[in-house]
Amino acid sequence: MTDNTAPSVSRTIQERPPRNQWFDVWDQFRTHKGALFGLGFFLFALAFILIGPLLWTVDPQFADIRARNSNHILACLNLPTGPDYETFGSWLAGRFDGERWGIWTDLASSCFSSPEEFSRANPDLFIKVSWAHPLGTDQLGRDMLARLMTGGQTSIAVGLTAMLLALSFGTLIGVVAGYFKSLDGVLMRMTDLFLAIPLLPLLLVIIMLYRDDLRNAFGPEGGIFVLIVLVIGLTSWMQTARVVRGDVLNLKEREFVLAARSIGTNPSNMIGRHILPNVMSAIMVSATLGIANAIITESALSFLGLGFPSDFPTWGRILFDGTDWLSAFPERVIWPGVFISLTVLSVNYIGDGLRDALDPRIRGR
Amino acid sequence: MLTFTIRRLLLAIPTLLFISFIIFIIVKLSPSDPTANLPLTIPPEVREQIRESLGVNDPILTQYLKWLKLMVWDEPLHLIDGWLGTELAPPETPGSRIISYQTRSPVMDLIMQRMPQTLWVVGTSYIVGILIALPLGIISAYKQYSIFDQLGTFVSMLGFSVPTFFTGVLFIVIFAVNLQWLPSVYDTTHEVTDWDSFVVQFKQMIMPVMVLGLFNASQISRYMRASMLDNLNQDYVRTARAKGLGESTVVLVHVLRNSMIPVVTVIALNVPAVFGGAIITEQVFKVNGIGQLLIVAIQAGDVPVVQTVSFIFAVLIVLFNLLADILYGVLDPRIRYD
Repeated sequence: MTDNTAPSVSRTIQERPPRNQWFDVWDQFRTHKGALFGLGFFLFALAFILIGPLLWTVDPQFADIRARNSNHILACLNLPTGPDYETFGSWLAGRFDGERWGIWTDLASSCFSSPEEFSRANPDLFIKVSWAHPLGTDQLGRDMLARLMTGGQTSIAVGLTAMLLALSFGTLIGVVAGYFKSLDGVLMRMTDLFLAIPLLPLLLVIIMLYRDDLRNAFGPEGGIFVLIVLVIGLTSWMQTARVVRGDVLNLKEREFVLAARSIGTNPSNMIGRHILPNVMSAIMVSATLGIANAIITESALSFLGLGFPSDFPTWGRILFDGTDWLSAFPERVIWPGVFISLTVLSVNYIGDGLRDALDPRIRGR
Repeated sequence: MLTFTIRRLLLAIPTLLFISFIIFIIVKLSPSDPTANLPLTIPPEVREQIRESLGVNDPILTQYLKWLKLMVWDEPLHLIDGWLGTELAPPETPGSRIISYQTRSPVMDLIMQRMPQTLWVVGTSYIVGILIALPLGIISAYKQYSIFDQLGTFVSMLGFSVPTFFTGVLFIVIFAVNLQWLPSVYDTTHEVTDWDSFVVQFKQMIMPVMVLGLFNASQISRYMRASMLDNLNQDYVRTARAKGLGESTVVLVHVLRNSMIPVVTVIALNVPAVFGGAIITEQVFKVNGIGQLLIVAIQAGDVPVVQTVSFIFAVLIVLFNLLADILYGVLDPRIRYD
């Protein structure tokens, strides 16, 4: 007869507390220096765009017309100390000339300590700096630091939403194609067709043609946001779909799937419980690539003048607006460009680190 | 191999049909009106006649088939006539060419005017990119984890992440504005006649070519490094060394030849993407190439130009995908398809 008393569980003394597998992933992730830098910068960028506006409460739309066309405060470091430099050699020599070095430190320190008076007292230096606008202002007097913060919110929001859209669509197609053999051919031919579409021209055309309709439907800001997210999301799901399909095809042949099927698991449970958790790592890696891709595409569109409007800027749009003032105010291009580049670089590094950390063959060695 | 090539060529036809239909339908379904930019003083009847003459009121499928016939048959014939001076194409009547709304001239002529600049910049930059990428990838893989490798992978990651519109603008700030060494605008009317004008041409090409070239180099060198690493640990490498072959022979003949197989296909696959990237570079350096034509046409609502340029990009993608497939089979006997 069955014994009702529970069998005595043999208790082994655990030498260390049980660990979730994500701790192991984190341990492996930590060993990748680039990935750590990437995570660090990405968190910094998030803090800059989310917490920054709470600390720097200047309205990005406010046009401080008296302070328009201000330089950023770092312009104090690049003050001329002598005749113009003709060649790189003379420029370099100027930096290491003792006398000029003295002039330069004097100028820079007085410029940093009281920038307004300094700008007024030295009209021949063509510099206009102020601690009220540490990164300067644009041609309408809007504060660049505040604009970079709100611009970053839009840029990263576009990146994340477009990535989520592309990822869900790609995963859906990939899982269905991999799991249901009858649909595989059709879906993969469709993926191939999408891969053969010239994306950038098509994106430009779609945005140009449908911008006004969506603006009427969702308002000037929401409309362009919806349009850009949709357009990027619906044209960048193909890589995810391919990777996920490959992984699903591979998993389908494993014993645990066979075991699950033999106890009568239906397809939806099978996919949700057994297949999806196992393709998670591939999905996470393509998520990071997706963010990078979406941020770059959005800023490229804005750069071509077909993205967000100037009063609802993204980093790409701020950069585009700055190109008209390139020779006089290079900082208007450099700051948004540095933010875009470093964000994309950090996300790419996070993807690199995740790829290593999520691969059980590498992890733990 | 031949049957495979033919089969792939036949498969490319429905792909191109599908893409051309998508390009056509996206533009057609949009609310933009070709007569919208005309003066408001034109009476509605005349406006309707203009629309009629542009063929906008026909059924969609008729318009599509007419456009397709022009696109894949008549216009290529005009192209061949232009190149070889033959008389293959039908005589020009109203409606026998794809006409730009903006300039009222055949779109293909516009494209032929713009093509040399784009090809010149894009082609040179791709070659420069490959020339930088191959040695970088080879040395990186051979000296894995060395300082050179770490620097190389970092630089290629950087080149891969920094968008070309930022590198381009940065180069302009440094080399054109601050140092004033190079011109920031590419002058396409410049003709090379003697040494001095060649130097001018060379100087104005440096920045656009390097911007695109560095971006390409960073992508290709990653593939090159990975592919070399795959091969360096293979048994045949050990055999080659055991036979007493010199290190340079082992690496540059045995390993390199095998590693080049995937890299060559990647190089072929990337060509259309480079043309796409050239749209942005052309905008930065004001090169009046195909990309600039496309942007101007989009801003002016010039539908025929937009459709034709997009279709040419699609043809490029399909063509180079095909080329990559065939190259793969030719280079690697293990993956023969027949």
